[in-house]
Parts: sequence; C-alpha cells; structure tokens
Amino acid sequence: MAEFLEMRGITKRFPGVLALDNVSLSVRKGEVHALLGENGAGKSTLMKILSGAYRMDEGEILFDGKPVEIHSSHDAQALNISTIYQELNLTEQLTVAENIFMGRQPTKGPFMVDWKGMFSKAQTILDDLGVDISAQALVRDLGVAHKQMVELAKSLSINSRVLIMDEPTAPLTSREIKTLFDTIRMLRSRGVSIIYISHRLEEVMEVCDRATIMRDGRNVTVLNVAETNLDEIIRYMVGRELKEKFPKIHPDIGETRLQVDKLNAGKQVKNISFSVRSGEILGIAGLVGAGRTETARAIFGMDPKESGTVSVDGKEVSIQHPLDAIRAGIGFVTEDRKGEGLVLTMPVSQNITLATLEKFGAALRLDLGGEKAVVLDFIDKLDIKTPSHLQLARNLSGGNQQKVVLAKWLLSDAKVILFDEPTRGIDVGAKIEVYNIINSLIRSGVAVVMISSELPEILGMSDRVAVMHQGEITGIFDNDGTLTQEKVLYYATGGKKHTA
Amino acid sequence: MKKNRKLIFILCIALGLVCLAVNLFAASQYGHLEDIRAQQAARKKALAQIQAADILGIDPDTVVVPDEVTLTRMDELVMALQGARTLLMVLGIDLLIIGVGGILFSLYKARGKAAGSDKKPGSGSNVLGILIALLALCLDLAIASPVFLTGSNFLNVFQQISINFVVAVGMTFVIISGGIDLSVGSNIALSGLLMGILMKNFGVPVPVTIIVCILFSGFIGLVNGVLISFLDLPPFIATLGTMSIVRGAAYTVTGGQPIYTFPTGFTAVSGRVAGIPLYSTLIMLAVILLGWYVLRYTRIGRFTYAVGGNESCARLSGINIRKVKCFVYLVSGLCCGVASLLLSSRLDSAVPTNADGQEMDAIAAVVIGGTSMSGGEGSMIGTLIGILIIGIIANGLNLLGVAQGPQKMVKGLIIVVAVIIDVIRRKASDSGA
Repeated sequence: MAEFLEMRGITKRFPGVLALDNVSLSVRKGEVHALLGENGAGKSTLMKILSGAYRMDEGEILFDGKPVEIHSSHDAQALNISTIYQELNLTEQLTVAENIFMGRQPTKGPFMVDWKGMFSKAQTILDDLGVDISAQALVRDLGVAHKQMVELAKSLSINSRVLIMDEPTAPLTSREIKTLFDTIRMLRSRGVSIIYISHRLEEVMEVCDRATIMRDGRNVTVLNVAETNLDEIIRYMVGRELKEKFPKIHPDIGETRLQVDKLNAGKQVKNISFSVRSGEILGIAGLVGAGRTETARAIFGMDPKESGTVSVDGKEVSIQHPLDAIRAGIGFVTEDRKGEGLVLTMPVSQNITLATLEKFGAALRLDLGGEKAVVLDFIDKLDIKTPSHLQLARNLSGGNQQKVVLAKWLLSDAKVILFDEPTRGIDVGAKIEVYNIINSLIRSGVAVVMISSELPEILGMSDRVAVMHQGEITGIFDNDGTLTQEKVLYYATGGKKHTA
Repeated sequence: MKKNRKLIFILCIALGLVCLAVNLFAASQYGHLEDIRAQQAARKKALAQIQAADILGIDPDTVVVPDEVTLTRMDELVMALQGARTLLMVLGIDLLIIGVGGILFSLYKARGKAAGSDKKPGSGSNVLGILIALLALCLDLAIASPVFLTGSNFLNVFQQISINFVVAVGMTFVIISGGIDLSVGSNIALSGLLMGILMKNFGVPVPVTIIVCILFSGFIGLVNGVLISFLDLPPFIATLGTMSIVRGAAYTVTGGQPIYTFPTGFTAVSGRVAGIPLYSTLIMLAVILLGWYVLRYTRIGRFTYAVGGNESCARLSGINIRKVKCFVYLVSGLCCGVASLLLSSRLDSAVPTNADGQEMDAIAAVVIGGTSMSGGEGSMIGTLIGILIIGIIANGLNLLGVAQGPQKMVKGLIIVVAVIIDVIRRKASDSGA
C-alpha cells in the first residue's frame, strides 16, 4: 500500500528546546496509525505542525506523493486534514447541525440559512455514524461522548482524508469507547487515514494497524501492531524495561485521618460515608457521572454541602471554602490540570507555592529567596523538566505540569490528599513517577483518596476500594487480592440494586 | 514568514538610510538654495527699483537687472525637500532603529535557541521593547522640536503625567486581576469637589480633608469591588455604572459649579520647592514604589496575578477571590484619591468635569506597558514606561501644534496598536509552547 501522508525530517525548535529532531511519520490510505510516546516526546508538536498550528523549522510534508506547504490551519483544512482535540472544540449554545456546518451553512438565496436542509443533512451524517443524536439538539445538552461524535460528524462533513484524534477515549465510558471504535473502523473502511494518539495502549492494540513510536523528540521505530505486544511497545516508549506497572507498597496503617459522615451535596453526592487511615490509599471507582469528583469537591469546599460532617484526625472541621480545607490539612489534586490545577500564566515556582504562601514570610514581606530554594528542591526531587523555575507553567508538557500540581500539595504538608484522576493524560513513565510520589506520601503517614476511571490503577494501587454509582457508595471492599475488575464493575453499574 | 520578517527589517534599514541620505543631500544643497534665493531676491529688488524709478521719473538705467534664475527640476525638488527635512530625519532614524533592533533581536533569539540557553522567559524582553520605543520617541521629538529637551518642558511633561501616573498604578492592579476600572475619572472629580466643600464650606483642616477624601475615593473603589466580587457583576458593567453615578454626583453636589481658591496649605502640595514640584514628585514616587512592592513582595500581590491568571485554580489553592478583587478595586480607588489631591492642588480648583476620560489614559498606559487585558500578566515597570510614552506623545503633539481632535485620535490609535501587539505576542507565546 502506498504511503498517503508523509512527514519527512521534521525539525522544530523552541527557545531552549529541540522539540522535534528529524522526525518522520508516514500514514497509508485507510489506516489507523498510532502515534505513541511519553509526554514531551513530541507527539503533540508533530500533530500541531500537521494541522497548521505550528510551523516546522526543517523538513517536508508529502500528501498523496506531492509536497505540500501547511502554514496555517486553513491550509490543513484545504488538504482535508482535521483534528479532534482532547478539549472539544464546539460552540455549546448552538445546535448540533450548526456546529457540524459551522461557517459553511447551506444557504437559501444570498442571505438566508437553509435550516431545513442543514438539519436534514446533519441528521443524515449522524445516522450514518450510527449515533442517536438529534441534529436539532443543543450541544450543551449532550454528554461528552456525544459531543465527540458531533466532532466526528463535523470532520466527516468536510470530507476529511486525514483525521487526527488526540486522546479520544479519555472522557468516555467503556461502552462509549466501543461505539467510537466501531466508528473508527467504519471510517477506515472508507479510506480515511486516522492518526491516533493515546496513552491507553490496550486500546491502541485493539484499534490500530501500525504504530510510530517517539521518544525525546526523535523517531524510535514503526511497528505493525498485529506483530507486537504491550511490553515491547512500552519498552520502546520509555527506552527501558518497566518492572512493575504499579509499584504498590504496604506501609503501616495507622489511625483514621479523614472521616466523612453522611455527606450530601446536590444530586451527585448522596449520603456518602467513608474513612481513610494514615498510610492507606482508598480508591474510589465508578463510571463517569457516578459523583466521585463531586464528592471530592464537596469535601474540599469547592461546592456547597447540604448536610454531613468531615473530620480530620478525629476533629470535626467546618469547610466552607477550599482555604478551610487546606487549613484542616486536606489537599486536592483535581482532574482538570489546566482549568483548575495551574495558573498557566505564572511561573513554575509561583504555582508550586500558591497554596502555601503563608510559609514564605509575613503577608507583607515574601521571602523570595526561601521560596526559590524550596522550589528548586522540589524541581530536583520530582524531576520536573523545566528550563528554569521561572518558566511559565503553560510551557511545560502534561506530565511535568502534573508534577508541578503535585509539588504544590506536597508542600502543603497535607494530612489527607484527594487525587482525582492523577494519571489522566500522562504517559507510562510519568505514571510510575506519580505512583512513587503517592507512595512516598503514604510512607510518611498521609492518607490518600484516589479517584480513578482506570480499574487496573484502582486495583493496582489501593488498599481499599469504594465503588460509587449514581451519587451513592454501593460498596467498600478490602483490596486483598480477591477483588476483581468484574466485581467492581458490577457494583459500579448499580448491580447490587438491580439484582437484589 | 521568518524570512519575510528579516526582509522587512532590511527594507527598514535601507529605507531609513535613503531617508537620511535624502536629508543629508537636502542639507548639503542648503547653500545652493540660499544662493538661488539671494539671486531671486536681488532680481526682485532690482525690478522693484526700476518700477519705483519709473514712477518717480528717474532714469532707471543705473539699475542693473540680474538675469532671471532658471530653476532646474533638481532645484525645485530640493526646495520641496527642505520643508520635509525634519520629518525625513525622524523617519530615517526610526526606520534604522526598527531595522537594526529587529535584526539584532532575531539574532539574539537564534543564538539563544542554538545554545539551548535557559534564559529567563517572560516580561523582560517585553519591557525592553517598550523601553526602546520610549527612547526612540524621545529622540524623534528631540529632533523635531527644539523645545522638547528643555528643563521647563520636562517639568511640564511631569506635571501633565502626574495624574495619570498615580491612576495607572491602581489600574495595573485591576487589569492584572483580570478586571477593568472605568470609574477612575469620575472618582477623581467627585473626590476633588469633596475636598473643596470640606475645606471651604466646613473649614476642615487640610490634612484631615486630604485623608478623608482619599479614604472616600477608596470607598468608591470598594463599592466597585463589592459589586464585582459579591454580586458577580462583570467589571466593565459595574464600573461603567459607578462611573456614571459618581460623575452625576459630582455635578449634583455643586449644581455643576466649580470651586475655586483653596487654602495655601493645600495648594502647597503641588507647589515648587527650588523650582521643582517636590511634594508631588515624592507622592508619585511613593505610590509607584508601593505598587511595585505590593505586586512583587506581598502575598496579596501574588494572589492578584493568580486570580487574573486562573480564578478557579486560585480558589482551589485557598485564595479568597472576593477579598483579592475588593482589594484591587480599593487600591484603584485610593490611587484616584491621591490623583485628585494632585490635580485639585495644582489647578487650585475643582470642577465636575475634571479628569474626564482619565480611564482611557490609564488603561492605555497599562496596556502599552505590556499588561495583558486578559489578566494574570503585567508589571509596574511596564506601566511606568507606558505612562511616560502616553505623556510624551501628548506633549510632543502639543509641541508640534496638533489640535485636540487629532490628539484624541492618535491616543485611541495607540491603544488599539498596543492591544494588537498584546494579542500577537500571546499568539506567539502560545505557539512557542
């Protein structure tokens, strides 16, 4: 099969960083091609060059055998290259059809939008995709999975020949993922070339044909997915053997540190009670929308509570604002790194000390020297890859940004830390580093609550597992080796009630 | 695109050199032109003499009429050029600065890239850019107007910027926090009238008046802060409302009448000691140093950046957003109070229309200084340079005899250009991520 899209010898420099060093990528017609690598390996940069967001310094792009110039997203569009980003790019207040035909609505006469025609065309595309969405629905009323389908419909409607998908399954439930994969396979059979970026290697094995693996801005290898296995891919990605995916440790478990009693907050948090002890990891499993994040937000004072109590170290604490929670010794690593975890316009150093500025001198005289020393120590200890502690947070890669967020809460000397999807969107190597940081926390006596949608992670790291379904805890289990994914899923889907 | 940019810079240099060369050529032809003019004058004089002799009936033969000077095309051109010499010089020098500066900057960047240096990113290069713009502006004006570089003109500029100086410091806080304060001008006017009323109608001592009025201005700012943080009004709307309310109040308290002649103790604030406005200088210095210190070295200053950069992250980090927002508008209000003191004491009067459109100047200074309108980024040093640029442009336009109308247009244009630069810079740094 001939190569349909070829990127050759792509080099891209950023101030102080050689982001891409002579990287090549070739994708065939009707192929699902995985682009793999750790965070900071250069995948996103390469794709941004292909979609016209960045310009390459050196190299060439061949499309259907002919060299092309891509200087802007407009150029990419003209070549029928479209991208579905992790952060979906839809206008919430408009209808599905309007989003699909954004900027090129069918018209009737010189000025009038042909609404009827637009809705029926959009509906045809949606039906064709096999999704049950009305073209007249407002996008804001759709779930994440359906929004993604709208994005897909949009790229279909512009006749995409190359489709870039960046972590498409991250926000989806397993059933939704299956639908997505069916759609991907259908697109492939129509001759669309798909570049698939994901950290979920199992999914890559399932849906991709070939995989290009990158490391540190360079090509490592290209593999036929059918002829390889997970271990080999991981070895290429990290450049070393990974002994354990989950470096679970078992420090002494002490007194109860966090006790939550009959917590109620809105529709998503109903009568939640649990406790976590010093040195323990409590995993909270459940499907998207089960109320796990909402529970953590209510505990931390981000959302108002209706009733219930929270105690830290046996003392009941009143938490009305995150500041109360921090003072009580609770930390919260949110799932939305860019939206809530970091101030992207601030330097790494100021992000790390943001929640604990009280430690650095009086209110009217910050000890900048002391701050710098502490920050440099953390950058060193957590191996945060940044040119300087004054680098703006927005210039860091995802995994390093997550480490900055972790550093912020490590610095707060919290007794309890809530982690919400601590390893979402970061690569295998960085995941292990995050687990090791969590390990060092429980070793020092911190109690950890870990919300995660990845069951292997829940089962691999937790001492106990609480399962949530529709705002309630349906079961809390000791993770003593007898707990299986099936059992957790059973309770996560409300099995107990439905079968009882 | 990069090549294009270099080409533009080279073109700038070439054009600049051409401008300067033409200017030099015009200058060198100055003597020749003088000759021509002298000859023309001599002929005119002779002709006039003949005419006069004719009228008087004297024999005109004694007067020798020189031949008419034939002007070559070249001469005509040179004559036209003479008028535009200053313009050519200014233009030439500016183009040279842009060209050379641009090329040096890109070389510097290229070197930084190649060496993989971990130079400190951020505001440094931005401040440098506007500093160069400021120096170029001064140079231009120094060439264009002989008055510009005189001591009295400097004092003049200084006095003109003093109000905006103080207001822009407060505005820097507000804009870094992601907000905007449109009510500053009205605040100054009302506060000034209040000073007049307190001192003239109630005989309140000067120091007490000053303190009360500055606090009053702070209170207006605090009202803005409460509206914005507790009632969740968009800053633009909230301060637009207070702007109108407070301006209306200023007209109402005196029935639109101005208040004249304040006690000497009050006007002494803007008085001169040994030829310089000592007290107002000290006040301005204190305000900007305090502003700089608070932004850089205090917790609340750090929080101001955090709130402007990412409000939900700031909240999650335990920052009391409401407190921070109230604080920045309070600061802006207090600065208005100080500005009002400077203005009323200098004018020795308070008028309800005082400081009309002040918000424009302050916002312009802050934005030119590199503070981002979307919040989270900016610096006091940038604002300082921004204030100087705005002030010197206004002074330059005055010196060059530009009318008020075009002056306003120029000011608006500068704001638009500054924001365009801000947007472009943001895009560049986004794609450099």
